[in-house]
Amino acid sequence: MSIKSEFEGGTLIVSTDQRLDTNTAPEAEKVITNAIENGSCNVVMNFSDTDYISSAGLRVILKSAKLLKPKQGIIVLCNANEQITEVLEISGFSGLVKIFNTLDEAMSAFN
Amino acid sequence: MQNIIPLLIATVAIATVLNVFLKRFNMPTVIGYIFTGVIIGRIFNLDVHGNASLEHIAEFGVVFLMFTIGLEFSVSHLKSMKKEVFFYGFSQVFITGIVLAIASNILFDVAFKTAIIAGLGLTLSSTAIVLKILNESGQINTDYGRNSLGILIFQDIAVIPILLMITIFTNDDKSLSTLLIETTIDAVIALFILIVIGKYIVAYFFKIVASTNSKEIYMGTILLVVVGSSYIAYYFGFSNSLGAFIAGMMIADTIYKYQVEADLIPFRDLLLGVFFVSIGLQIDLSVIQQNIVPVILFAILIMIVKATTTFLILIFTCSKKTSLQTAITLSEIGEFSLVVFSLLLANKMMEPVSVQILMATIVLSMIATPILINNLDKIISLFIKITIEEETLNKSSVIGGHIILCGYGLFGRVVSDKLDRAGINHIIITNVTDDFVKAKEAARSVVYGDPTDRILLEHLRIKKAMSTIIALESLDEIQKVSAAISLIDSSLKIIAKVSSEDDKNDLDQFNHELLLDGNSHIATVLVEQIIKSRMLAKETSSLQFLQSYSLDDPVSAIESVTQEQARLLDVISKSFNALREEKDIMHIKAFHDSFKVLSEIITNAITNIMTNASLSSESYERVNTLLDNQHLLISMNDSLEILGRELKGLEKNDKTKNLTHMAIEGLDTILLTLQDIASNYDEQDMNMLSDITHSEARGLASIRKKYLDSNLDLDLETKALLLSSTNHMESLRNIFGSIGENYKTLENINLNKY
Repeated sequence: MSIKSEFEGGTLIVSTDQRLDTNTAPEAEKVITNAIENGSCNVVMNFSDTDYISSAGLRVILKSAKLLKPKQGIIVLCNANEQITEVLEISGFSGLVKIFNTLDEAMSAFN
Repeated sequence: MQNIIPLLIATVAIATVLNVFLKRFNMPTVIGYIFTGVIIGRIFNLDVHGNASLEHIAEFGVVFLMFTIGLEFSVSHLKSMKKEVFFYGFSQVFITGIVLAIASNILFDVAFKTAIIAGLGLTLSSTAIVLKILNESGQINTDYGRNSLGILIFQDIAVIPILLMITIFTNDDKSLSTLLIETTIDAVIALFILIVIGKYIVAYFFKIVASTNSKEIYMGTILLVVVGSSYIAYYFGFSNSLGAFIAGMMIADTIYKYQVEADLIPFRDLLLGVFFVSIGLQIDLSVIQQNIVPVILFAILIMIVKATTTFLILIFTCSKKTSLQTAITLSEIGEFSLVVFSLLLANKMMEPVSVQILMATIVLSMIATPILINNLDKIISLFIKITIEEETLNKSSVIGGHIILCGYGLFGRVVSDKLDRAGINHIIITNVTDDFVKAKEAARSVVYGDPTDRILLEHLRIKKAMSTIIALESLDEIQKVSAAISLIDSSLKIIAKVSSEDDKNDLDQFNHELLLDGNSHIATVLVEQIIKSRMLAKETSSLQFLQSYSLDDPVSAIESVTQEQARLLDVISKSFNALREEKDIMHIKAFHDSFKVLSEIITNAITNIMTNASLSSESYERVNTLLDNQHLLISMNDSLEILGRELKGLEKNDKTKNLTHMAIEGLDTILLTLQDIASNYDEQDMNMLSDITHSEARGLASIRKKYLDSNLDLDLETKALLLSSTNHMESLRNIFGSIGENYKTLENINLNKY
């Protein structure tokens, strides 16, 4: 399994692998979609182990945000490295989702 | 004169037959020449002594040898080998000299002064034999090769004071102090003249001569430099060899070094041949017959003493193996020793029989040298165990597996760049001064010289090279180089580029591994690319919805235009993929071209519908929105085409390389969302597209700040590219948003009307 997931206080924390690309994005999408369908409303994507994210990976964030919106849920990101921060800037995602420096900061956003 | 011709014929014939025979046993030509001398001396009853012209000719062999040794020793090279030359060399000559002087004093019952000269004379090893073998085998680059070279150089320099000592010890007219002062003054003057001429005039002179492009004038100049410098040294009372050695050192720092060496080697080898024949002539077989046991014993004893002292000197700073290899390699007694003993005999400082025995001993040790060096590993293994790792390391230090690139013109430069990028070790030969300078500027390994020169090619170890690439433009030059390589070894592989099929046929006789018809090859690649691009453009621009539309049914016509227009986004998406996959520029261009073809058809269709069809107000709105979309899509394609080029530029810089990848992924994500909206409109997708493309306060300022304000220290060109590319990224993001807005308008019109 390249994607690790856990629940903390009803929030799904998804830790992605070194690369979130066409190979790993479907798995991440499946994990998040299943959790949302089972009632989760908040998702944290933890990029602490991730170096690279492709358009397929970014699309997972978009799809998750789309699924969460009717449930008034949100998706936040944390621990993005310099490269991921750059791609989030260029894609304009910084205007769509909140980005935190640490997992703790991200979790506190839900509290 | 009449007697000389049969003598010459006999000498050449015997030398040739003997050397061909000895080569079968991997014996060097030196031995063949010495035996030739012995045989010729016997047949013609000759003695080299008293034959002044033969002595002079033979001496010039050594002069030329010292000149070529000097060529290997630029001042900077000498500095880099300080330890080998001055420490090992001095220790070897001094310590071995003392031991052998004591031995000479006891064994030959000579005066103390004579014993010192004899001891020092026996210390000298054979530069001619050792360097020839080490150079030919490439072992000169190993640790023991460097040690041997360094010690030999010191020994060659030491010849001068040794010869001077003979003059001092035999001169009764002047006091020692007067002689030393005179010698010092002469040495200073001779050195001054040689260095001033060598450093400031010779290089300039060679430049003018090289520009004449005449091999004859070039050769004449080299001979003038060698003979002239040796005469200057001789005039001031030094050996001819010293003058030649200094002249060689002066040229070693110029770009003409390799070509001079290559041109001189045939003369040197021929004259060295004469020198070794003259050594053979000095051997009196009757003396050897009577003293065969002492000769053999002396040879063994002296070689053991020399090897032991050299080993003991080196063992403290070198490995056991290197010390032993160097010791065995330098255990023989050299050609300069023969000169020393000839002078001792001429000055009546030693008995003729003793000198004859020692000369025979010297020759015997010289004959043993090639056998010892050729079987060095076997001998070493008797004393020490060698691991496979050590063996591999040793072999890898010998140059090999490289590529020789002849020519550094336009084609040569491209080949060299590609080899460099692939990390393939290659050495360039060029005799074009401008190209030489360019290669040096590009930090390439380059040799100034004629690529048709066999000696130069052999010097660059062509036999060990992976391949030789002839990157020369004219067929004549390619033929000459191919012929030179084939003469060295007809099985050597050559790669060359020619410009026509006829040229290719002309080169059939040579062993070309790959013979590229350059023009035909380039034309084929070019046309293949164009065909591929056209096919790609045709495939992507072929109409799927607009093949036939009727102005009588404007609603269907507008729908067809809408669907066809959405295909433009697919083409853009493909060009993104091409950028991501780092496809060549022709490939990416094909998508932009196909976009333009498809786009033109759609624009014409929109204009046609707008002007010729009967439209409702809603349909006008739709067509108007489609036209606006069309303009936006055309701008998008233009911006993307420019951005693609800019990203390729940024990719070349390691500091901005990642940004290019991130830009492609980021923009592609927005495009994919837009494609979703275009194919199946969804309000939520549209809202998200608005969020991510809304330009207010979400520009790429942070990225510009990071790359331009930080300590990245980007060059001006990259900074300009970065500014321009981020502007294009922002512009593309805005266009994506605007197109999305137009799809929202189309959807709203749709909902209101239908």
